[in-house]
Amino acid sequence: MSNQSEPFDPFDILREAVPEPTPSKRQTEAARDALQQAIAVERQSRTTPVGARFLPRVAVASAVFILAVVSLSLVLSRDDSATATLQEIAQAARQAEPADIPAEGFLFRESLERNLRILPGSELGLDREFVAYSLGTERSIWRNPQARFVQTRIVNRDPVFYDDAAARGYRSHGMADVDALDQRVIRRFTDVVDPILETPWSESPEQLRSQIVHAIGRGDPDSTSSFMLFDFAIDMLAEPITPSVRGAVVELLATLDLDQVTRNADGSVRLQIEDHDGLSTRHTIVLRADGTLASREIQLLEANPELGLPAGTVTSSGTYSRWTEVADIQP
Amino acid sequence: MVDDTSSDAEIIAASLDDPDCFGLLFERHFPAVFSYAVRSIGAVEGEEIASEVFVQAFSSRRRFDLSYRSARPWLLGIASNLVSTRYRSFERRNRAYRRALGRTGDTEEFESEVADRVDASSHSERVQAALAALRPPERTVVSLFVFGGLSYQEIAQVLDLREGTVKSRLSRGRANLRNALADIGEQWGNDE
Repeated sequence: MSNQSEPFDPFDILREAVPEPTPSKRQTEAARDALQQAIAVERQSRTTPVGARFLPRVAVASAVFILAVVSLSLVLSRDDSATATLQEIAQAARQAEPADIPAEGFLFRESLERNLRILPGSELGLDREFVAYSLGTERSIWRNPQARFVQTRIVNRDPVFYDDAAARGYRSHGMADVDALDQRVIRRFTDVVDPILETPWSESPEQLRSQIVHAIGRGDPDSTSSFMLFDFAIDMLAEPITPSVRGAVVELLATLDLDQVTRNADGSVRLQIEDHDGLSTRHTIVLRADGTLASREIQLLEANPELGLPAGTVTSSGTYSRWTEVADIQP
Repeated sequence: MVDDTSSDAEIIAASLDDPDCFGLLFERHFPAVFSYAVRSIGAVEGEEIASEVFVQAFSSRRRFDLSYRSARPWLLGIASNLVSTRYRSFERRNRAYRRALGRTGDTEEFESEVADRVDASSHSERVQAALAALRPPERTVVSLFVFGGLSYQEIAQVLDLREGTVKSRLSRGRANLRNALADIGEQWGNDE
């Protein structure tokens, strides 16, 4: 029985929420082999006048990066016309029909993406700290927010390399298997609490801005740049948020310091913002006329020698279907 | 001659002449070191660190204080150093690339921003994120206490701190985690 006057002990939560793992046979053998190698090296060094000692170098973890693509047209200056365009889209977003998901049904979205994958060079047998390549991904997502259920189906395809050594290393080190190229990988998640779908976002752009500043964790609006707000706002637009909140997000975008707002012939709008805090990048998104996210792209503006990426590399791109209501999950 | 009944100190002493003896220490402590490392920093990094601990311990075994019978605190101390180093480099790199190139995710996990967010919002990820957000000295002490199961005295020994410093860092860590996990704590109380 809990005693309300006694605060909970977060250490109990840590113990419970991060369960104790047991090493598998493979993991144990790999670690044992590493130790045996070190022992063998020392034994050998005792019989060699000048023994060379090698400390195995630790491999660094991996990381991945994400989404988007494009469109074109006439550029609106960063003035009233840009604001008016976004206001118009916000209005259309607010008027959209809210999703009506039956208890047993799902929201479904497909996307085609190409993302940068970064690994320690050693994983591809290369004598460099990092190696980067891009990987195409077909992704399908089914979710039922009420039931807090998500299923993803992913097929990775067509790795693209930035140099021949990386391509050779990829093939010789069996990375096609690691990336599960051309294979359907299905994962199901239950009890998913998605902050974007479960936060009671304001329908007022001003209040929404404060909420996002808080969510980003800066707390201080002055240290939260237009880019940070933009980035978070786009995450929201990518999700099946309510029409009113979608409208507020688009209105918030209209208040940011965007570099370019372009109206396309089909009524969609292309927004661009550059970020020069650290590596210089250009982020481009296309919103449909109803405020849903059609595409997203991140482009490096300057070369990155560490990753071996030339200036202009698109590090992440994706095109997204609308969220639609479906009755069943497909395999 | 050492065997399963020998103390850790005896095994390490013997391994100075016969390096193969060190294998006994591995068999005895690998599961605990593995568990500590994986719980502290995650599966991929933790697995690498657990392996690295024994290689480092072997190469520095001459520095082990043979007056301590158990090597477990010493091994977990090495693990905590590796975890801290990894945290620093991983955070630095992650921040830089996340800022520049978009969302990052683990290759072992699913790679979309939706999936990242879903993962980040799961119960255990929330808790791990709160742990990761602690100041490094607090995080190290909390991890050794909670995941390593070490006593105040053992933590003080491996980190070369006074026991009072260990207690105050644990206390601050506990308070900060309590704030960060207030909502989960509320549910926790109700569930019990």
